[in-house]
Amino acid sequence: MTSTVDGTSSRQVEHATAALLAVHDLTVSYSGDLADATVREVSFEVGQGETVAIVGESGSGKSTVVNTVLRLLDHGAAVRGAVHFAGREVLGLHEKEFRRLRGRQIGFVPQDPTSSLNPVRRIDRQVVEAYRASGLPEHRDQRTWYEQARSLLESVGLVDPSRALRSYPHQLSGGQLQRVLIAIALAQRPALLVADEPTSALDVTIQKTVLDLIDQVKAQSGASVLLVTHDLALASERADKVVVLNGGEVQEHGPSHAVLHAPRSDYARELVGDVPSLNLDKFAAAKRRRPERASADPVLVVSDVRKSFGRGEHRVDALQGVSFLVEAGRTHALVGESGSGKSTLARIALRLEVPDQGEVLVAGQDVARLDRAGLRVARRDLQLLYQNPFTSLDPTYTVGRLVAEPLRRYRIGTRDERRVRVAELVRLVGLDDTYLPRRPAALSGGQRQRVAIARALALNPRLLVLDEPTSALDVVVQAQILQVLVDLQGRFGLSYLFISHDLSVVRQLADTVTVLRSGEVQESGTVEQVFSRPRSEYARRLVDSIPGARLPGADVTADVAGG
Amino acid sequence: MAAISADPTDPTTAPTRTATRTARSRAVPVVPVLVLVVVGLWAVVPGLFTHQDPFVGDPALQFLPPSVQHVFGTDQLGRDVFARVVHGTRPAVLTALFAVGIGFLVGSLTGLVAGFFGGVLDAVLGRFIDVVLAVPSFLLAVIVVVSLGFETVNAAIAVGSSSIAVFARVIRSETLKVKNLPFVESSYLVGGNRFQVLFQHVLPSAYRSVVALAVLQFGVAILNISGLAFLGYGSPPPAADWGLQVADGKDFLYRYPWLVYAPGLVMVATVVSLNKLSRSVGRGR
Repeated sequence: MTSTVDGTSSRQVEHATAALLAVHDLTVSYSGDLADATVREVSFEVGQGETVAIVGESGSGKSTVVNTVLRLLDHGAAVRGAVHFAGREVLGLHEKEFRRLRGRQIGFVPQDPTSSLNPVRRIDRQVVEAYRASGLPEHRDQRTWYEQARSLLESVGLVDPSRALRSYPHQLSGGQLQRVLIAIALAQRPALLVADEPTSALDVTIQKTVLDLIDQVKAQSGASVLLVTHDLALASERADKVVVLNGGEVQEHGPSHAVLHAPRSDYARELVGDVPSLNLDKFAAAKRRRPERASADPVLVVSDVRKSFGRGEHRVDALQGVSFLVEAGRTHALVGESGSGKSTLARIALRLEVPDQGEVLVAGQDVARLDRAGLRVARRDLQLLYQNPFTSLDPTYTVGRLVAEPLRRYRIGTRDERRVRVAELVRLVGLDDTYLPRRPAALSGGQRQRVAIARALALNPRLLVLDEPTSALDVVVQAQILQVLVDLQGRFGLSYLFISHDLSVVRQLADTVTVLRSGEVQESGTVEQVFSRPRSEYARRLVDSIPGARLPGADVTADVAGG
Repeated sequence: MAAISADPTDPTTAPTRTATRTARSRAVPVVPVLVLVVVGLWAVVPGLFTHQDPFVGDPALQFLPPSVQHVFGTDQLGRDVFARVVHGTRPAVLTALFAVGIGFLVGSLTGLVAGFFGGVLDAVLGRFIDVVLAVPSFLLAVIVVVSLGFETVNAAIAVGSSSIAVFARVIRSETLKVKNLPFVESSYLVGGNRFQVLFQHVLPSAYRSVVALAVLQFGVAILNISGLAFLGYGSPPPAADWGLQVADGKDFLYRYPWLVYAPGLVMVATVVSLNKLSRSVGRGR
């Protein structure tokens, strides 16, 4: 390990002499008052041919830094400090002069590819627009543009570039659009490529191919990359250097291996300890402490469920004969990318959708065929934790009322008994009485999700469906919420049906797993089996796509990982 | 390490106008609120503002121009115009409130039910709303008041019912938006039935959208009711309705313009203030 660090730092010394982008003591304030700044005294350098990752949670200021470098801030924002690009101060540059750098020298790959292309213009026109602006000698002849665009799109791995050029953005998938955007950014042969969370809107397997593409492009063109991400594992895997931001300040700054393996700041240490893919066995001890299975009967049995939407040529077979079961007091994960049918399956288990065929047995009862009264009784055992706590809690309700609502609806206890129960529930999820009169707007994302858990637990359900419960949350908060869930399972013998696209979280939390793709089961088994010896090609690809999987010390297949 | 300090004359470090601009736009509009407070007080305690009788005039004091004794002058019967405007506030405000109340309640309920239950009910109510919206609201109000009889209450009903469609349309679209949010589904999952969900979750979230509209419609109602009074579809003279005063004064407009301008300007000030307030309420949400 020592040799790795030495190798990286010596490489860094080489680059430091020729920093392409140097940000020095950058302070940015949106309010115009520098004493109340969003970003404070941030400094870092990006050397020639180097990849530097800015890592931080939402609100850490990482996008602000990027927008300042690209000079895309609001006019009202106040900026202090210096940004040098290729030896030239750019903050003071006139917009007209800077426009010659932005795009031509500094390419930009945005976060959400689906909203970053003009929906009413064909791809070819949007690529050609970059040629027209570039002023490069090879783009002088308009007649060659089409051929150039074709080979450009081919070089970013689009299978049928002619078809892509003829398409409108809505006719391409998110991964294809991101390739187009990377192609457009590359069209002008920039010296620096700025990528703002380039993969967070994409599925995991596509994430990996897009990041591979950026790496490959960088290797070919010798460009530098400034990568913005919330994922420390991804950052350390892809970048030479990592800048960890929190609350607008640089917490740590150094070669990625050093930050990952010997973090110096408290915040970076916490982050390294919380990133799921670096701590696959974080909850192993807690899981072992759970009681033996209370009963041999599974809580939920789904057998041969089929569901299709639409008719005729618009018919989509969302589920094509899916079966799995959830053991009592254990966690079963449904894994798949968007469109795999995992959410439909969760909704069917909760009877928010009715399957076309098949059985959904909860405690021996077929939920899919219950009448209204029967369903009302069955729902007490079946609760859902939503993905996004920002929309799943009624903003007009107080926390106390939100948690008490299930009790009121089922007329459980007297008013005073309910009050006691609500206070108890809120304490279970790590909050206290002072939160009861607050409304969701006064809570953070993690606190909201805790309230949502308390609400879901109010009726003592046997099965809790977790629909990507942490995907809207930051890493540190995610780890806390997962901890709460694991603890509650140990205490009350809850069973979880855990829906996720994040394999490392699945690896941490679940006991058994079903891998879905296009409504079909690709593989199922215990988490250890599927992760260490995936039998299907698709599962293998998913496991490979876990960021950080290839990092030393984060062996996915190892039973006890360091961290 | 060589420090690269920021150039003190760097234009980008200078704080800009945005901050002050946001602060100003967030504040309550002061002048409109003052106007509305005064108008409100006129309606509640007119006696505080004028000691003159709005109905009994002194023929010797006919057509006096505005002066210290008679701020807005006097009319053809020697009555103090200011006193008539102040005393005319209460009926104007009350009928407008009543009208907005009708539109707000009936319209909101219609829109809420149509948006929430959807299907056939929405189709029927929706077409009904479309038809009502297609008829000019003032014309509709005239038709209603003519068939109900000339009286202030009927004028309020007329104006209110013509605004039902506007309220219904707005709250229907808001309901459609809210009813698909996860927290609504979540309340079904914890055992709520449709009516509990409708009145305890959807309504509290959706009604806010019509509050700003209600303020705006209040101004519209004042104008429409005055319009009806002007045409003689409100309370008969010698009532001090603003619209009626304008109607009375129009015969003397050329020589004694204050008879029309005084009540007219008060009306304009009130309605413009309500519009301003409505905009800041709408933005504040």
